[in-house]
Amino acid sequence: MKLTYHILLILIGAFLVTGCVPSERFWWSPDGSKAAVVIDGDLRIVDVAGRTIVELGKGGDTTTESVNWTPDADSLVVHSLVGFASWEDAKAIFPEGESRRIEELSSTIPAIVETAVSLYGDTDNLDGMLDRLDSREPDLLRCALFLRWERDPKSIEKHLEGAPELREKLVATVSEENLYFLNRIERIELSGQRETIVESVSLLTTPVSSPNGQSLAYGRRTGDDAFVDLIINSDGQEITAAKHIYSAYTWTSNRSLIAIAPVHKNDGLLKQVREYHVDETAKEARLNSGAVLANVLIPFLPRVNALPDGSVLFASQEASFPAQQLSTIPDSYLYRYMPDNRLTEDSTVLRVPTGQGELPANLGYFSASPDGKRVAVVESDTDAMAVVEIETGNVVIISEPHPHAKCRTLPAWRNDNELTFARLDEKSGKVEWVLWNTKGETRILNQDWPHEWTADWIEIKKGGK
Amino acid sequence: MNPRSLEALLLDRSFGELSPEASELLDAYLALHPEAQTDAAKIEETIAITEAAVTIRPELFSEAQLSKGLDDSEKIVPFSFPVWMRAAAAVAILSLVGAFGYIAGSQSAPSGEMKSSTPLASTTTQSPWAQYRITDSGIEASIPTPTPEP
Repeated sequence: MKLTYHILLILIGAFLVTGCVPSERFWWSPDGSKAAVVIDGDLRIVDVAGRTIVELGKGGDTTTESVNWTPDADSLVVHSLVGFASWEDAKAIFPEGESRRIEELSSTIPAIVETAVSLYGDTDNLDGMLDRLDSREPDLLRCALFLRWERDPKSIEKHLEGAPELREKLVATVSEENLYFLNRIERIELSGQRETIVESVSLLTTPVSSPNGQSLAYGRRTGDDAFVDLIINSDGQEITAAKHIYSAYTWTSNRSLIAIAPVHKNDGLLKQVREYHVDETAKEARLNSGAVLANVLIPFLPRVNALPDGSVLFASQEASFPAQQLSTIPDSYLYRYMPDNRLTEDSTVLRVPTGQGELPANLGYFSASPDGKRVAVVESDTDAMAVVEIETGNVVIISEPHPHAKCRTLPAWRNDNELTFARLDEKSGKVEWVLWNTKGETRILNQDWPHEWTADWIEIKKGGK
Repeated sequence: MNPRSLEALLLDRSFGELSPEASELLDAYLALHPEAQTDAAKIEETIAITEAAVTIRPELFSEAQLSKGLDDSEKIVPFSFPVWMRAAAAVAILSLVGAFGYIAGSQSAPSGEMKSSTPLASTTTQSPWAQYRITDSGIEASIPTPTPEP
């Protein structure tokens, strides 16, 4: 008797542990001559020997989140988070409209807290509680809560008498250094000159420059934590290209946008790879749901790469339904969607022909080489790294896993044949920034760096060094 | 002796439930019937696999696993074990499958676009990636232990 395949939503939660995943920390310029590196939240530019050329980080309360080189490599588009300890400091910098809205919301906070405690009881998950209120403005609501606490804590505390864990969590949270955060996307010249493109209290996600450098795509959270609206910014003018997508998008060479979206707006394992054609000159975009390129099964973080041949690289589990209930996670594979003008006899979606078990089950962290011939793959539960030949599916493990180590850094290609990644040196305990080439040769780029600069590039589990 | 009886006796002996006298009689029977020795060897090998599975993957031998329907496992398992052993044998098969992939996928794998993979060019033969299991409490990751370099 066949059993219906039981899709466990907990798969998503297990893989999506915020803050415990590989993230981008270095980005090579298009000509490979220099790299932007985030060290302890500060941004600096280094050469191929790891020597600092210029420090661009503001330091202090500003943390660099992501970097995108402009095609001419003369400047960078940088996403930062700027923190403020008090409302007075934040209000002076926050966009006026959002500041006004936060103050409006703060008057409703006591009622919101009372409702939340009545509905959901006690919890130490403050953010979870706020998310469950299904606010269209979660980031502004969070600021409003802290503002209300700053001005009139008793108006909140009286509703927390039946929720001691929540109260304890709130007290602990407001004692942190910074409570209010501003997302800033700016263009930074290597000379240090800066130009703000957009600022927002609502969360913004990784900005990506269009191939011609004239537009910028980024996400803005407008409600559910899992989704963003995809924004196109051209000369300071914003248009919404798509609503309710995951924070996984990229430009193609023909200037369309590829994004991964939920099926019928519901978060779940089944997702869709969609293509959005954007008229960058349009002041108002006709919103469309996007052409569906593929339906995919993704229990891990969605990710998509555009390859120079016009194809789109994404990951998915492979399954047919109904299927037997299993005690282990099915294999994940990489796939390429070939555009219409490259139809093959078999299918427009081709699997990168790796063997069973040769790729991690948690296939949410990969980076394609500039020429689209190879892809570097890591996972969040080990520090192993592999390079896959896309055409043949040949897999080479270029960094074996180390006991107690988990990768927290996405690899980055310097050029078609050279890749940089983080590797643990077990003897010294130092995390190395390694330059690897397709001949198998390696070189360490951070030999002269202080140990602490790369300490968080690999997480050492408890019991390890 | 019919095959079912032979299987039962071998299983009883492996679990220490055969008396010394009965064990001697079993050995005598096998010595006189070479054709039964081949079957006996296969049964004992399967028992060894099951015991190894219990050692390696004890969590699979939960009550939930052992109470599963066994219609499909009967098709997979080449020998007809007694009822009380079927569950362990089925789980043994599942544990082996879990290590190398899964049944449903191999049965329904699409054709045409797949090419045979080339071996991993790594210093170890085992997968470097974490393996995940679905449990009642969620997903558990099993981190591989790297093989020490010679």
